[in-house]
Amino acid sequence: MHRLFIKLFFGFLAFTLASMALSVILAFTASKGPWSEHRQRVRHERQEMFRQSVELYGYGAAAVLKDEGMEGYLSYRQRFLERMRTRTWLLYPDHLSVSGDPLPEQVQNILQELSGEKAARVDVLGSELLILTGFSHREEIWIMVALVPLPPHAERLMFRFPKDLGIRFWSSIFLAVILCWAIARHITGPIARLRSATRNVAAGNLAVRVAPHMGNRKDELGLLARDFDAMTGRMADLLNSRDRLLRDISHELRSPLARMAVALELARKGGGDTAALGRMEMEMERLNTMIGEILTLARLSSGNGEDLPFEKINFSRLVMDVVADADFEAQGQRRSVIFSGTEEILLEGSPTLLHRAVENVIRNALRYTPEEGEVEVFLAIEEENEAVLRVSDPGPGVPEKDLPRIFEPFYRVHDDRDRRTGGVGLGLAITGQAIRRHGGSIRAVNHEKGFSVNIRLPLKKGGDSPAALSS
Amino acid sequence: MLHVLVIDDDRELTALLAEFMEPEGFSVEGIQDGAKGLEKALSGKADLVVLDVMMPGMGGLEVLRRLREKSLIPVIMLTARGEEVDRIIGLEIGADDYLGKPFNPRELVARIRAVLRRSDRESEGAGTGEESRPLELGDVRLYPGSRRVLRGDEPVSLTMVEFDFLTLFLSHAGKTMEREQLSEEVLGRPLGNYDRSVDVHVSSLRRKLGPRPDGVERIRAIRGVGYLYTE
Repeated sequence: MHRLFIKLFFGFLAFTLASMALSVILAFTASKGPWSEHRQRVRHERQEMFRQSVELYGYGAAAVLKDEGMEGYLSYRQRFLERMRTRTWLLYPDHLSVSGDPLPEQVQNILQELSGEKAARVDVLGSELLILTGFSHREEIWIMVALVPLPPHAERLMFRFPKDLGIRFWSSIFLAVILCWAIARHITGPIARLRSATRNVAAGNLAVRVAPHMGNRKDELGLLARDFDAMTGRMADLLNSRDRLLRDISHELRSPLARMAVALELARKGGGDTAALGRMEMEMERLNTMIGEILTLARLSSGNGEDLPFEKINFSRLVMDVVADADFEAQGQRRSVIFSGTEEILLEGSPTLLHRAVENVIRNALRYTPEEGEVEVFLAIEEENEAVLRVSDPGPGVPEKDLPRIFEPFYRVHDDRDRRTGGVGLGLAITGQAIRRHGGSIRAVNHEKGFSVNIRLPLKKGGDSPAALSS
Repeated sequence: MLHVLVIDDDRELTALLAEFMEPEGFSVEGIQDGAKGLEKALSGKADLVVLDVMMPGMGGLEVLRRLREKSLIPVIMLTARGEEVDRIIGLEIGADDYLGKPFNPRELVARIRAVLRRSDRESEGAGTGEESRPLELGDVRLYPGSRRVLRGDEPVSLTMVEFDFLTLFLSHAGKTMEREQLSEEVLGRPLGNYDRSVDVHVSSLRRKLGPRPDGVERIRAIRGVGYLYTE
């Protein structure tokens, strides 16, 4: 149903999520490129800043030691410890602590590698930041070591995720879903519209237009919609001109027929051969019937619902009336038509058209019914939304390959050349068109007992009925 | 001699009609143009107008509308389109009767006579001058002269053939009429193989009359034989 929509939606979504994941991974694991260089620089600057502060502090410590002796230095260091919670050691160049208290082992190890006033190191040791720098003060070389306690988690500087990660994560997923849905919708919406319009056209309604529903899209889909409308309009023109032609031809054919009818009566008055004249009259009636049927067919297929007022009708009543009439006529010829099934089916449609449609099928069935035979007409509701009418006759049926064609104009079973009723294979074509105009369908089937025509009609005027379409 | 004005763009048809109708006591004048025909019809020289719906220029319905503004002259419409809509509009605008093309000229003559008789009676304001006694059965009355049929007080619109069938049925009510006999007497031709014209006409006559007030069908089919009009 919405395969393309699903594909696009999930495609976009997968793509979006993948790129989100990728950017996260890139952001947090980049070891190359401008971003990492930038971070490196920032870190470097920070470290340099720390080092310089410790160096300044070292100047102070060395100066206090020189001017005030060990006591001054220790209180200076104590003040620093209390205010900044930072442990410090002032070292002689040979790494001996001025105050004599030992250095943590790790610091000792690091000191192994460093010496002199060029010594400098900023590093994370457990939960503390080690800042170590050498400096010279009043011609003497010193080394200053500071251990600054870090805020919790700070040691994981490399992988610091924000605390509200959950919210951010879900909200970006949500946004991605919404956006992908919108994009997929934007592409498949018009396609769905085009599809339903195409189905409408296939069902014979050429009044359907797509472009007005598309806003004013200038993209390929908008253009396609406009092209589709142009094509439909062109088809409608062609069909209308074909139907107009049929109407004109029929009308023109009726003029000579009218003249013939008068000439025929003149011949009768002149005492012409009555049997031959009777024959002529019959053939003229047949011609006239045929012309009438062609006109009806042309009107039906010209696809505008204006001449087809739909109203609420009791379809069962209508079918039973047709059956009663047909049975009445058939009685005279030792045949009968029997109705069974639901006697109360209401639907919307054109009573004259449906009457004609049902009558044609029943008459056709009677044509192939042998003497003493019965035509069975069965009516029911299926799935609560359509009426199903089955007309069965015990006749020979139709060759299997011809079944779909019996509802085409002028189709005749190849050996059925004796025009028993003046029909020329237009009756069932009219029926087919009439049923389709009501949004229904018609099928013919052979079975062991004979032949059936099945008609399905929607009870509710669906999207396929002319009036509903043109709105 | 009654003067009939035929307004129809089919010149040959009007000529044939003139040939057919003159022996029947009508003088026929054919006019091919709607506007001219309207003028003629309003001049008061014609007794009745036969008017074609489809004409180039001023169409039949337009002619009828303008004619009815000033004149009550009887009008019978002809149409080749066979559209129900034409018939309804035509009768609404004020046509007295309506025939589809092609038509049997005998039927046209019968209808012209019926329309003229009706309008004569209406203009004399007397409904008593019945030229012959009506055939009556139950609630159905058939007037052979004016070719009218009433069911109760309602007129029933029948074609000439249906009228002839009904006449035959009413005069043989209660007897079974064979299909062969019906074909010979009404259609004037022997019943052919698979010939269903009798059945179709009788069927539509039955539909137009409807069942009797007591619900019984007026015409019964006798299997394999023909039809019977119930008494």
